[in-house]
Amino acid sequence: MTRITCDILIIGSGAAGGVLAATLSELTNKRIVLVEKGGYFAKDFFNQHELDMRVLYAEGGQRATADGAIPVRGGECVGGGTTVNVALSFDPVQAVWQRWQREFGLTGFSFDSANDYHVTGLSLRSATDEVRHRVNVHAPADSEINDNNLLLAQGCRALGISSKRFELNMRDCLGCGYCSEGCAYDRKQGTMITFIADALARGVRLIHHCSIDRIVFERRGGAMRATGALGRVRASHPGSQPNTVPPGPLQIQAGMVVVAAGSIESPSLLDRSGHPDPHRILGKGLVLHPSLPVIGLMEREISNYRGISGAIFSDHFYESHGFYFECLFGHPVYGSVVFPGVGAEHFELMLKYSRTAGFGVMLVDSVDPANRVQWDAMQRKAVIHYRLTDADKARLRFAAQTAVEVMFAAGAREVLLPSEESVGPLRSPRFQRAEQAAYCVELRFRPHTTTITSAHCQATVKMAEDPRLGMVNSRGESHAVRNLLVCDSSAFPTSCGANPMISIMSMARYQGRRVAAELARYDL
Amino acid sequence: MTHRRDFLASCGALVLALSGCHSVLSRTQLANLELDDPHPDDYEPVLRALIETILPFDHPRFPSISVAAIQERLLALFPLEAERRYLVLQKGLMVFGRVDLFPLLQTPLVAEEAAQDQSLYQEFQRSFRSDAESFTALQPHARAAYFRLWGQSAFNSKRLFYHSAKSLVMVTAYSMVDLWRVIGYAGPLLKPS
Repeated sequence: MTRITCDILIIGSGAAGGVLAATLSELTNKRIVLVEKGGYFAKDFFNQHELDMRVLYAEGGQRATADGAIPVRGGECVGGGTTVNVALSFDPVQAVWQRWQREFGLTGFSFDSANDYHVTGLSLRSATDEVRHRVNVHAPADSEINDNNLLLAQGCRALGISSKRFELNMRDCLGCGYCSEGCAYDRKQGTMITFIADALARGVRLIHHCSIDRIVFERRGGAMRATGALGRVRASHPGSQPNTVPPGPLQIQAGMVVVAAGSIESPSLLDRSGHPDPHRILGKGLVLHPSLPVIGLMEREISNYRGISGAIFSDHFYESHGFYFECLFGHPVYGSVVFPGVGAEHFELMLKYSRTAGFGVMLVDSVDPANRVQWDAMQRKAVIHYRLTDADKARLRFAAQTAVEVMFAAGAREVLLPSEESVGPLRSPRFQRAEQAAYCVELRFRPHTTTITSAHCQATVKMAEDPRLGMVNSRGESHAVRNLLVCDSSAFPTSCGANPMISIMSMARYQGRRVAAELARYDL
Repeated sequence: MTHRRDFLASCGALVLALSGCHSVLSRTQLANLELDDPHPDDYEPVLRALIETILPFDHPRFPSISVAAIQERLLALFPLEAERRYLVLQKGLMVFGRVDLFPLLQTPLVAEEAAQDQSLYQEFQRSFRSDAESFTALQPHARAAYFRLWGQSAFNSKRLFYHSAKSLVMVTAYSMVDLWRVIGYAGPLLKPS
């Protein structure tokens, strides 16, 4: 067994863990260990092949809800989701954080220049500004926008629907279109090559291929306190960077443990560690931004899989109906699974790949306690229970109908949804005319008949000042265990209202600065 | 009732089958399928017939790839025999391969859904007038229609099998350069190192 002692142990190296490691190493002289379940793959490893790059994803890209109906994609490698996402950068939505302050009693997280927790200059706004600067968030130039994105803007404009340009965390993007397979050119500014690189340069110890079995809690003077973790280091995947610990059992003793493993793994880790849950709320209320791809067949060939995948979006219906249209496009493996049907019918569609346009509806889903993550001790894996609520289905039907109309307005000759449900007189939602979009009101979103995807799990270890509503307080501190913090998307009380990467990184920067200023609070 | 339906709908096809068979004979057949570890000689012909159904090998623009080549690649990507986690899929292939068991893969506790599947099956039988008991013995058109039955079933577990089988075959095929060429996908920019 390898034994390591440190002051601060951070579990998870994604959007949150990487920023925390960098911030705490910048502002303190504490010994920090950063642990990642997946591998550590640098740009030379990313070969732009969809199947080879499955290793960058949780469960080899096969993670899904318990009924198998919704794939739940998530990065599981150094950098986490920031290594495999398409760089869509939304600032924290002020209205959402203010609602959390009202409904969950959150303190701090100011949006004006403030001194939260009496820390000079600490606000969520300043944390966001620092993150934006480090990962170079900016809008792409006109010349970087491909046909597929222009078509979404065109369709929206024709119907009087507003659209906008995404901001992206990139630097001199080459437009290869393989963000989801890891950036082979180090142009996407994920945490691996920004914050984590900074942290490593300052002496943070990174241990990858390391599964944490449980966090160790000790009782001291009647109170529970986190004192470290037990885990196991696996042999490294071929092509991974060298590890700092040999394969085998691992014991880490730490003064403070920060859980930043994401909304699926964080609640599972707390559960199997025996974290108290007197109000039975751990893991409950999962939201995952269910998304519905919309496919348009155009008359001519377009640039779709080359170029920046997501450059245009519409938040026109965000306030009224809680959904976005976001441009995206898939490579053939993904496309072949999403295109409906089999046999010649399916192949005829694939033959139109080069004149296919695509974007997605992303629904900001509502919280239902029945949607939850549970640790299954028998299977030794996190089980994700999720179903669309009736209210969310109704919003998704309207979104689908509008999206089909937008695609026709963009010039599509035919529009289809990834579904084999019959609607109206049609055997499947494969529309020849814009008026047929009205049949979308009949969609039932039956599992395994209509393809719904997801990638933004949140809200399973909620922040709330009232322990009946949340597992951790506004500082991210466990209500039950001292020196145990949770800082990732799981700590959001509900959906953060947009693609979450920058919100997570901003929260991590904020909490990192606060912890550094309040070290005495933790007796490290 | 809703909760019970939800529970049953989330059960695997084989569990549903075992709890819902109407005849002792069928229950025994299904129990054997459930309890025995399937042999590749039994499920690989079903897999091969599924590949022939899902991909249009006779389409004039389909590249000259053999069924055997696809199957070999699929088994390399998804080692059904070597990895225990694929046991459910092996058994799924065995149950799917028995056409005559389709209407029995249900439970009387959800009569409405069972009736829907009975109706689908009867329509299938009327259309193809086939008394073949196995998927591999069906004619190509009947195979496609039978596979669609699983995609249209009222039971989640059967639709899950349809979707999983389709995904396995599509992922295998559309990661091949031959397919990329015909659909106009130029592939990665990086040269293999």
